[in-house]
Amino acid sequence: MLQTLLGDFPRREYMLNGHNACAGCGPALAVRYLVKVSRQEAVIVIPASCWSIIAGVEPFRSLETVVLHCPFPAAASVGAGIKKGLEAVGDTRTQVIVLAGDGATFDIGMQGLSGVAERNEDLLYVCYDNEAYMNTGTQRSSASPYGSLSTTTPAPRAKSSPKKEIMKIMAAHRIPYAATASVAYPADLMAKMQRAMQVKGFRFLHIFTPCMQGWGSPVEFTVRLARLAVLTRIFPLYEVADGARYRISSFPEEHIPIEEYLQGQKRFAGLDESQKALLQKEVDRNWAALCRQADHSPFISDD
Amino acid sequence: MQFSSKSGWPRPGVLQETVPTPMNKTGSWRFLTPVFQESNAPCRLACPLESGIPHWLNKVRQGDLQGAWQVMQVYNPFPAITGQVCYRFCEEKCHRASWDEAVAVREVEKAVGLWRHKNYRTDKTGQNGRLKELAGKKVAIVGSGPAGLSCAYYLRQSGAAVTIFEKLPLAGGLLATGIPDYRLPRDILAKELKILEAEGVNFRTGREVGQEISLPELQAQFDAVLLAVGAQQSRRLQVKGEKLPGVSGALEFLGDLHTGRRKAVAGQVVVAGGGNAAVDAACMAKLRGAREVSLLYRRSREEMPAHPEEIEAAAAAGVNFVFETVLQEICGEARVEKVCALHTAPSRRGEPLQVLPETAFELQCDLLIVAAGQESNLPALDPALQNAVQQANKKNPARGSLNLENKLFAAGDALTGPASVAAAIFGGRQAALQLRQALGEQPGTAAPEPSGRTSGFNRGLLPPAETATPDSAAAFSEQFKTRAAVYPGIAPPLQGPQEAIGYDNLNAFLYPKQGRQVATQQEAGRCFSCGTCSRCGVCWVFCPEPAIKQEPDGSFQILLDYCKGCGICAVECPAGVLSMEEVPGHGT
Amino acid sequence: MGRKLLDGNQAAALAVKLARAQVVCAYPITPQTSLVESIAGMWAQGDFSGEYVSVESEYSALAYLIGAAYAGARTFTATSSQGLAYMHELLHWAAGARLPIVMVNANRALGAPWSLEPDHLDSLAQRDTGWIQFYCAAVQEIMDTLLFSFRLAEETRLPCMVIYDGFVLSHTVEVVEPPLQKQADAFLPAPPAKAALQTEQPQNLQAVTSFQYLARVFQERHLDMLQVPRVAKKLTREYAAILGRSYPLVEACGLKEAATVVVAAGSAAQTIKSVLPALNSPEGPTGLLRLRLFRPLPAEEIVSLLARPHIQRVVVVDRDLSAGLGGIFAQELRALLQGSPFEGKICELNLAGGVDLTPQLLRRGLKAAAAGGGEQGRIIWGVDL
Repeated sequence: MLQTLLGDFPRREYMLNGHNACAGCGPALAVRYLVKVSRQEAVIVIPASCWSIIAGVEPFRSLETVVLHCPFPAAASVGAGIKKGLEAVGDTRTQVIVLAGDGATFDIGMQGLSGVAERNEDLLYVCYDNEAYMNTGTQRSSASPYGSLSTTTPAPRAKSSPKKEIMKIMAAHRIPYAATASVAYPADLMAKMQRAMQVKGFRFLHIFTPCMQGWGSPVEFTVRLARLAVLTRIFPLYEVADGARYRISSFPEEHIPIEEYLQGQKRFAGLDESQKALLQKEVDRNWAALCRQADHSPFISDD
Repeated sequence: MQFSSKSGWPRPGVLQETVPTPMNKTGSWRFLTPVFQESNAPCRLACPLESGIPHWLNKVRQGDLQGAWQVMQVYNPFPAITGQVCYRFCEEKCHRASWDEAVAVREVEKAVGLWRHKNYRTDKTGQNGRLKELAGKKVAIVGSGPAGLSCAYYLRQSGAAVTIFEKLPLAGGLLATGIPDYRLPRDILAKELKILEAEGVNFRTGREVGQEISLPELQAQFDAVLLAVGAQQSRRLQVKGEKLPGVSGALEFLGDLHTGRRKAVAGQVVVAGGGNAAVDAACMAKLRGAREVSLLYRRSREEMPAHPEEIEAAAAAGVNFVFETVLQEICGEARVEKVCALHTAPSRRGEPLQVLPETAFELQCDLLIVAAGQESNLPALDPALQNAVQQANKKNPARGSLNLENKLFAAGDALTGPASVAAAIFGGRQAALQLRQALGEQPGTAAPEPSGRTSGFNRGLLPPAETATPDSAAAFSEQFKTRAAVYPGIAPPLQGPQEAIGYDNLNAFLYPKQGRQVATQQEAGRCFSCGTCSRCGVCWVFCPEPAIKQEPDGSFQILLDYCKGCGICAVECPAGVLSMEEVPGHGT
Repeated sequence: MGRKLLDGNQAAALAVKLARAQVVCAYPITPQTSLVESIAGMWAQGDFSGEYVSVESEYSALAYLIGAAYAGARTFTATSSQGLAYMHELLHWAAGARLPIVMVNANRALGAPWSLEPDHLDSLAQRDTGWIQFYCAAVQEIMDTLLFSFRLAEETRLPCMVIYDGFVLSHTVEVVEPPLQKQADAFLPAPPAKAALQTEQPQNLQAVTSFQYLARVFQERHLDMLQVPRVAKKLTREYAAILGRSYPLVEACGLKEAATVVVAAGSAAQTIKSVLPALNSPEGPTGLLRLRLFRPLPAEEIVSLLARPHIQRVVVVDRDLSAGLGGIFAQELRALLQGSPFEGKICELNLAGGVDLTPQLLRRGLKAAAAGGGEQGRIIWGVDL
């Protein structure tokens, strides 16, 4: 353990350097934290995504555990199958973690994801969300926010629909544990990972992992933007137990306008003032709803 | 039945050997390189002691008060005292003040001092034997104020035999006689003196140099003499009636109270002056029984040279401030009975004073305390010294202390005029450095000289190098690696231009806005550690490679073989000691 | 156990039970549904030792099994038609990852339009996915082939598909003699109770590869596929020794004097076999070549069986159609027999869309073939006869 300003951090790395992520990669950072918790106790399943590359091109590997790649829409089912298979051959200890991007989660893998969630398979599903198909060069996904540009929503026809509310979808499945986390808040992220590892049944972590290449920002701002997303409340941090009981992990003290977050991201270059106001309204409404939820049905944790 | 491959290639789907990615030297992707460069924190620049505040705060944050004391004593051997009386120059400049509230540096300092008091074992003989380059040397120190005590501490650390000559029966100088006891509880001073005695400092109280023993005699008997006689010669107001009984200088008044020559104060007291001595005297008079205390100052409250903290304390004690007023005359038959005063037009300090003749008024007065400033005690000791000081200053301008001719040194208020306790301690520390040099310090045992090449966590103890641009990856790596902790016995003074860094890159997550904490450790944790690597590990935590490694000694190293140069570490470093630079030969 | 009256699906379910499959995951689709229901029923009653998981799609069913097979479990699924097509991507993946998954496909025509007819295109369209394919002709054979397939798949580390005509076999009750559990166990030992994935031994399975690796992966899979007939023959002998039943990879009937050989797969072959003695075409006696193993294509067996001078004509019965080319079995035979005396003489009787092969229709087809109606790539359409 290392004493840092962020608390105690496990020192040992289970993600090796020399991996193929771009400089300043948010998903790489997220997984570095995740595997510090899961160590060598889990099999990791990766569908087509940035991590297909980061985990290492044959014969390389960047993670100190078993990594399995699988087709794009199949991750949730493959993961659940591994768990069931391991149990069938007598291994009840090893956990299975699906590590999927927003495309594999919000879009193409939604059916299988809903399936495993409904069956409450014993699986930890981690969605690292960089809000577009980044591995293939920034095409929009249903996780792309309103008003964002991508190669498939090019200027002036930015995305006109809002980001899919995946957490609501997961909560609606009444899974035992779901949480949002951010690479800017690693202590929180790892605490949630720890909690998720201890829960039996289907668990879902939605991790905000900025992609500076895709968002059009300087690479050094990965963590800063992730933090701003939380502080501006566009990506609030919270947990949901059994799909009903909410707990907000951090209450941003000041109300930082969404503009702070939007500026400097080229993908939002097309937003005019009225659209920004619309986005702000949406953010405020969602935050208020989340607060109400947390007030009315507080999260009761056994920790 | 074996279905092993005929081609000899590993089959997918069955266990096979993989190659860990560290084979890939992804550092070659980099075109910007993190460069480690510490700078001085604003608190350190503001501190008369030039104390490495972020360093010892960091030790306190980690709960290591022993370590904090080890760092502290390099700059300041008396944190229990400064923790009481220092005017918190550091806190005025604290970057955290514009975030939420300044770090309560003085409170933490006091805690370190009190920890030292509690944990110092007085039965311990001698010292830790770390630096003994002055073993066998004898040094006389004239004056037992903060400058003399500080010098004595450091000289004992160096192994010299130290004798302090104090003309009063009690040691401590201004700390004992000048500073009001509500600001510095005397048991703290007593403990400090006791520790010094236990460290082997020889106190000769009630021995006035020039009376019982002459300066030349001292010079003959000792290898060196330090004059730390202070500045307690009260200036005169040059008004009529100043010689009347019932008129006293501020320091004399405070001294009489603290030494017990004056037991109590009664009646109507008027204090003339606006410095700390004036305010202290007014406050003490009120606390010791004066019916009413009026403090006359010729300009406004904002212009008062006294520290705002003092002014507030006096106001709270019930001192009546009369601003923009000057004394015109002191009246009385056998002793002072009343004073005549005039108002002045508003003016700033330094501007000529314009008296308004029509505004004369009178004040009842049983005791008039004059605090028109103090002068060095040196000329009183020997008029020739004034000249010697001037000569030495010309040769090598004083920074807290001076090496006069003939193994004679001067330091503290005696040299600088009335300043602060912290400045006096600094003077004593400086004098110790000079004495160590003059008394034949062995080369190699000196405090390490600052250098741009050696850098790391402990660098903040030393002045930063003006420029430290590494020219190769290897040199950088070496530079970022922290040396083993080397705490020189005495911190050398800051040199060259220093710039306090900003704190644009502040991580609000690490430093949530909050008021001052109660617990010392928590309070120390509020420090941004501006410009000073505190080994907090944030660079390591946020590296997506990870290309930052912690060495067993706690230092951090950037693995340039893998650093892709994203710059997250430079943005997130709460101390601002990392920056991204184009380094020739790195990457493409 | 004695003899039982079972339909194809029930027989398959029983075989899965006897095989001690550990993870069964399926999505119901007509005409496979009763198979899944049978297993679910046994599972619910505690008669099935493995886990049965009912998922939300065929895609997830196979994905689930890919996961379970990676873990080292013995796995089974069943599907049909659209469901198999929906699995397509994962069929490739399972074979590429060399996972010994066993599946049943009850043939049914692919839409559009909707249909329940036993067209073979659903499974034939998957011939290039790298799966072993068996086409069964009887309920007993379904049961035996399925049990056999688990062993074959595990030994060759190739996934295996056991195929039979929807309704015609899946829902037709026949008298079968199920193996005893101990017989099944003797042939197919219980899978090792050890996870194939050990997290302390880091791996990066199916990571992105360059052609240097990929070419080897493909080449190797092909070479291993070519070994399947040899392994299957060895296992057939073992099976026969334990259970007293055996099935050739290519079944030949009446070839000794045949002038015309009908090549067929699945239940159609059973029909042909039953009427074979009365099936003398104008050119002389008729024989039957039933393709039981289709992938890998048992080329050696087919060629040597047909290498008889009295065989004048080959008529391939196809219940499938690759639009723009013709029946798939016929094309495979044409390619195989290129340069042989049969070149240009391979007739195709096409029953695509599930045209029922009645003895009358077969006779009319043979007549048309004898008249040269199916030569030079022309198709004799069953629907036109």
